[in-house]
Order: sequence, then C-alpha cells, then structure tokens
Amino acid sequence: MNTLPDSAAIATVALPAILDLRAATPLANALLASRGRELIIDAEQVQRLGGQCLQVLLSAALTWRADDIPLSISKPSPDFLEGLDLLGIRSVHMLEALSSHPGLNDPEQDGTVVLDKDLSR
Amino acid sequence: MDAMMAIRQTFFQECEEQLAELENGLLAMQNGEADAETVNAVFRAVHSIKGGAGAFSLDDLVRFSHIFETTLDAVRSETLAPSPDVLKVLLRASDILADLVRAARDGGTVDAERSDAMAVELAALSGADKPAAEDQSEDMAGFSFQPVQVSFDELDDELPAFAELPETSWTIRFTPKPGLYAKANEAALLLRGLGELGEMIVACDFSTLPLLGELDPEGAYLTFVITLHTRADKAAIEAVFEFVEWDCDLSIEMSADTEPDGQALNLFALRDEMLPRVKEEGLASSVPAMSENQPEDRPDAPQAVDELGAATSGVAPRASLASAPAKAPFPETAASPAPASREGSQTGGQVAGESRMGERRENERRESTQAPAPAATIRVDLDRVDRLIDLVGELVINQAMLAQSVNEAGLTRGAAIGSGLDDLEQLTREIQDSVMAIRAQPVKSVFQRMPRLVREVAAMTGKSVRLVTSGENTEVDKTVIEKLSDPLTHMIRNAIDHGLEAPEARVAAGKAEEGIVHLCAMHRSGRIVIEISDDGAGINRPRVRQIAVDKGLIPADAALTDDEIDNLIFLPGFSTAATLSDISGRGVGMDVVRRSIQALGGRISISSRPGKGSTFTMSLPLTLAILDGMVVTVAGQTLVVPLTAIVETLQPRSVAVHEFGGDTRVIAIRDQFTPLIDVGRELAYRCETADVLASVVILVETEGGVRNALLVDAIQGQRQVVIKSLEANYRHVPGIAAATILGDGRVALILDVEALVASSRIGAPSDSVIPREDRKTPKEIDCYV
Repeated sequence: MNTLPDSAAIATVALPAILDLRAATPLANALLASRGRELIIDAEQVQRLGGQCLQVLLSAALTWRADDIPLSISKPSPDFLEGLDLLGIRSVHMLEALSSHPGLNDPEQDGTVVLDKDLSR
Repeated sequence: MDAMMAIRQTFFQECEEQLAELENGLLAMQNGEADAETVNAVFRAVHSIKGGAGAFSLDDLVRFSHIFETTLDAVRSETLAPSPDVLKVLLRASDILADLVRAARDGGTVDAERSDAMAVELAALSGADKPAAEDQSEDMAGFSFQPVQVSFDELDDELPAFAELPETSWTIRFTPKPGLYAKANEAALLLRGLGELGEMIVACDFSTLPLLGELDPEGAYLTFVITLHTRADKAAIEAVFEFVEWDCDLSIEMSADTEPDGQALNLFALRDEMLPRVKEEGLASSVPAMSENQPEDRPDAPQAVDELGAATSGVAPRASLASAPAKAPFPETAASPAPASREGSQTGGQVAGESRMGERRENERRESTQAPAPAATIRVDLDRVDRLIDLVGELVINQAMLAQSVNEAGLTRGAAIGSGLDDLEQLTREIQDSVMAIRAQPVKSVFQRMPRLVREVAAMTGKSVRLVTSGENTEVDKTVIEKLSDPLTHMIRNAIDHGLEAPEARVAAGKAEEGIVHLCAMHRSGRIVIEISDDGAGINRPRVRQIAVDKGLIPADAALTDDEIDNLIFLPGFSTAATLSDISGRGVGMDVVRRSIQALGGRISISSRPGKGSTFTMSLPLTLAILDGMVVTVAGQTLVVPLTAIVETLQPRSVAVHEFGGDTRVIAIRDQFTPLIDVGRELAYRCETADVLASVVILVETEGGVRNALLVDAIQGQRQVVIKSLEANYRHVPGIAAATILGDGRVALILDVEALVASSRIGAPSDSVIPREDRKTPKEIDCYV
C-alpha cells in the first residue's frame, strides 16, 4: 500500500536562502546529483528567488517528469512562494505538477506542500 | 514663486547637470576612455532633457533632443561607431543642445539654421531621415502636458502627465538573454519594478527550457508575458527595462481594449482579457489562474494542478495586485529604472530644487520598503547660504566686539570669562569654516565650459587644439567661481588665437600639428592658483616691446627685463593683433582681465619661453567673504594688511634705511635693498614722511616674488576680518581692496598690497594697476583734507 519509495531512494535538496544568479550553477549540480531518485526540494530557507534559479527548478521539474519520478517541494517559505508568483509561476503546485507524478501532487498526502495564505492575497 | 516655476527652475538646474554629464561623457569617448556605461550616461542625459522639455512644452528642445537621442541610440546599439568625426559632430550637437536649453530658460532665441543643420547632420549619422512631422507628433504625444493642470507631486520627468493619462493595458513580452543575468541584472527585480506601475499579470513561458542535463544554469530560457494595467505611458514601461534593453528581447504593445473611463479593472476581467491574448500569441494552451480573491481551498487546488498537468507547453499566468508587497525580498533597487527621487518639501519656492520633478506617489509609497536614495545631497538656494555667511560674518564681528569689551573691562584672559571667550572664538571659526565649505565648489563647473569654447575658437581660427584640464576638483568659493568664467574664457581664447601657431607653422617648427592648451587648478598657500599654458610660440618680445613703444606706453629707451616685457601685454590699450580678430578682440584686452582678477583680490602673471609657449598664472583667494589680516595703524587710521601678502615684520634700524633719490627710500634687509613704501603718504593720510625709527616695517611679497617694505606706525594684531565690498557700498578706491568692520564698530580699510606697491613705482611698466589719473586722486584729496 505504501507507494513511497524507501528512504535510500529519496533525495532531499535544501535550497539556500538566496537563489540569485550565483546560486544557479550549484543548484543545478545539486539537483543533477539527485537525478534518478525521488526528490524533495526543501524551500524553507528561501528568502529570494531569481530568474535563473527558477529556470533550474523548472528544468528539474521537467526532468523528473521525463524520468517519471516524483518531485515535491517541502515547506516553501512565503518568500519562495512570492518569488514564484512574481515570475509567473502561480503556485508551488505548478512547479511540482510539471513533474506530474501521481500521488505527490496532493499536498495532504505527505504534508510537504502547504499552500500559503500569501498566495491568496 | 509658484510651484510650477519651482519645478521649471529645478528642471533647468538638472539640465545643466545633464549637459555637463553629456559633455564629460562625450569627451571621455573622444579620449577613448568610454565604456558602455559612459555611452549609456550620455544617452540618458539627452533622454532626460527631452523628457523634461516635453513636460514644459519646449518643442524646439524636444525636437532637437529627440534627433540627438536617436543618433546616440545608434551609438549605443553599436550601429554607429563613435569615430573621432562622429564625436566631433556629437560634441557640437551638445553645444547646440546647451544653447537650446539656455534659450528655453532665459527666453532667448537660438540660431534655428544652425540647429536645423545639426539636426540634419545627426539624422544622417543615425541613418534616419529627419523625422517627419507625424513621427514628431507621435513622439510628442507622451509629453502632451499642460503644466498648470498638473499637481506638483504627480510629475515625473519620464511621465510628465502620469496622473493625467487614462489607464491603459499593455502587453509586454520580456525575454531575458544570458547577458542580462551576467551583468548582475535580475528578471525578478525588473518584474517587480514593472508591478509598481500598476496591476499586472505575469505568465511564464518555459517552452524552450531543456532538461536539467542540457541546461546551462547561467543561460536564459524563459519568456515572461506580462499584462500591465497602468496609467503610465510606454516610455515609463521602457524605462523599467532601460538598463537591460540590449540584454533582452522586449516588445511593448498597447492593448486595444483599454478601458475608456480610466477605471481600474478588476483582476478577473484583466485575466480574462489576458489569457486569450496569450493564446493568440502562440504560447499554446495556458493555465487558468486561480482568482486573487478566491480562497485556495483544497478542492480547487488539485483542479488547478490537473489543468496544469495538461498544459504541456508550460505557460503559467500570474496575477498580482498593483500595490507593492509589504515585504520586499529584493531590497536592492539597482535594477529599478525609476530615477532616484529626492525627498523634498513641497512648499516650493525658496529652496529651489528641493523637490525633484520626477517625484511620484509611487516612489513615496516605496520609501517604506526600499533603501533610501544613495545621494545624500540637497540643493539649497544660494541666497540662503549667502544669508548664513552674512550672519556668520556678523557673528565674527560680534565675537570680536565682545572680546574687546572684556579686554577694556580689565578682565584678564585667564579668568573664566577669558577661556569662555576663547572657546567662543574657536567655535565661531569652526562655524565660519563649515559655512564656507558649504559654498565651496570644485572649479569643474567653470572648467567644463571651456572644451566648448576651445572647439569654437579652434574652428574659427582653423587651428587644431586639444584642451587638457587637471585639478578640476579643486574647491573654491562659489562667488569666486562665478567670476572666473570671464577671465578664463578670455585667456583661453587668447592662448589659442595668439599663443598657438597655425598648423603649418607648428609642423615647420617640428611640433605636433595639434596644439595643446593646458588648464590646471591647484591650491597653493591658502589661495587657488589657475594656470593656462599653451605650447605655442611664446611671446614675441621684440614685437611686444615695439608696440608698447609705438603706443607710448613705455619710453623707447626703457630697460626692461624679459619678464617685464611679457607683462606689458597687461597694459591698458595694448593689443598685439594687427587687426582685432573675432576671437580675442571683442574690445577686451588683457588689462581688463588683469583688472577683473585684481578686483577679486587675485593676481595674474605670465611667463613665456620663446618657441615653447606661455603660461598665465592666476592666483585668487579661496573666498571673497573672509580674510586673515594684520591690523595696523597708519596716521591714526586702522588698516588691514592681508596676511597672505606678508612675509615678515620688523623694527627698522636707522642705519638700514637709505635715501634713494627724491623721496624714495630703501631698506636693507639681509643684504638686500627693498623699496620702502610709506603707507601713510601713499594713501595720502599725511604729507610728511614718516619717522622710520618710530614705525614698523611689514615685508610683503607681490606676484612674481617681488618684495617691498610697507612702513606703518604700529601693529595692533592679527585678526580674521569679514570683507565688505567698498565698490558695492561706496566706490573703488585705488590701493584699497575692501573694507571691514572692527570689533569696536569702526570701519577699517583693507589694503590692496599689489596696487599699493605698483602705484609707488611710478614709471615702472607694471604701474598700470592704477591708472595715472586715478593714482593722483588720493594725493589730490589729501590737499583738501
């Protein structure tokens, strides 16, 4: 019944506080290193999101989707959500949905995604 | 002054700054020191002038700056190479722009033929034809502005009628290129800036985004499609992207369905409008965004996600309210294109420029969330500073009077009141220094007018000239700066017209065809020294001497040193040009230059080396308001000798003084005979000769290092005095530079040492300082007194 993979197959990448242009390459490398495993991206610390890091995150979502492996965003900070919003990504779901893995898009399932009130301002 | 006048005044003040920026940038480009930022700054300067001019319906100015701007844009976008020839045209265009600005300000007229010819020249450079009428009118549309109808705080130099424009919907496609990020710009910041103009919806198109393995993390793959509902015009939107416009693909189009009544649209309507358009633009199926106001409860979320999942091409709309977020995760405003606004009161009037034209409510609202503007400067009306200086002057006098009263009351300096007085004196001096520092300005403001002059004079004389300046940041009191312009202008004209040889002559003399005029400022022993040197032929001494003899200025057999011959050119009526040329002539001779400099308490001298060039050296006081002086008594009168002129003071011994034909006496000081000038007689306070043994000698040094001994009765002390103009309050008195008010309320005259020395040397060539008729005046008065 448990659809979640075992813990060894789950990778977690914690996003740094500042996702500016300097953070793009390290982020891409960190995500690439996790390729092939289910990925949880921890966005709790994020204070700032720039265009290039968004590209990396979107590309990761597309990649995981192509690999048909789940990807989820955990504990997105209000700043992270607002940064997505500003750059035209309506919600964290959208980012996740790109990976389009069934079972992980429902936030209640693993409790990692909480739609923040900030989004409904 | 009403508010509009205040804004207008500020606009012209800013124009001057922009013009300076423009010229500096162009000169830097000419010297090959320009980088992309310089080119940008040059473009922005003209652009800002155009924007402001549009706000005031200064059509000529707008028209010309538009053409100018177009050419600069071509340089900026590298379709026009800034070759030396192109830069020459641009520099001349900047001169015409400056003329147009001044004509607009002062209500004068400009040579329309000249500016039209330049417009054609500029248009030819940019490859554009001179804009057709409709083009201009289109361009003017954004600036169709009725000054009287606009309230003070809703103006912006980019959007003059921000509040007057109806709300418009714009569709903006913004595709950053890698270079945008590489130059430390950030798409998110730009979008945030855009959001501050109004209500916007952002859609992110990531259809070209590769998978992670192929992704260059520092590349750029996203396109943002923004629908913006705003009162701002296109220029304001473009301004958001001003710093990145070569590093992105940008299209800004007005939506056809702009609300006619100017009411703000709600976001539902906006989103409904925007989504079909996104489809039309070929961005494939888009995702309906959730309403801003709709609670995002669980049942909706999966639905959105489902729809999203179907959207394979990935266009995601984003809606946002116009109001800036309470929290700004991007506090940096570097990429924000809005001009840095200066906070200022809106009472207008007296403090001109306190409030910058481009003040906008949006900016004010942003104040709370953004870092303050970096430039912590204010503009203050000069009258206010002058008033402050006057008051400080009074304070100095008052403090001196107080000190004197305490002295007269027999209180010793050791008492508490004495030390309190010392503190007061210290404080007064500090206040005085600080106030003077407020008025001190770099001579740059005068120096930067000179390149234009050099260009014009060079063109008129057919000479090739390069102006090299140094020490532009040397500071001097503003009153001195204002008066520097005329003498400098004349001397530079003179240097090019008379100093530099014609190109052929230069080549024949083994020099570079291009002559060099060096303009240099420096501080030297409490004065500012300005040198104008050329690498021309130097002074033709036999010719100068012959002219002086011919004009009866010197006796034919006068024995003159080289230095004295050089200085003959300062004699009134002396002009070496066989015919008065257009350039140096103009009825002004070097004698007038010398007089105007002397009127400032300055000195001028020339040194010349045949074949190598000449150097004019001007030395001026740093301020015209305060002077350190030695207070002396002469025949019962109190006089002030400027301290800068004094070398030493001494008690003469009878053996040292020698009669030297007639009344003239010399004094031997350290094996040197120095002329002794009896100040009392020279100024006609008394007829009889002063008793040397009962007097004090003040050794003074004049320009050129010549020493003279002034004979005075007694020295009272050394004091800082506030200069009060004698000319303004009475009239010019030969030998007297100005007056001051002493601690006891009496007026004391400040000696003009240079003039006094010159007038004592009758027959010497440099006695031109005081014309003969003037020179006699004090002595004639003496007979009546």
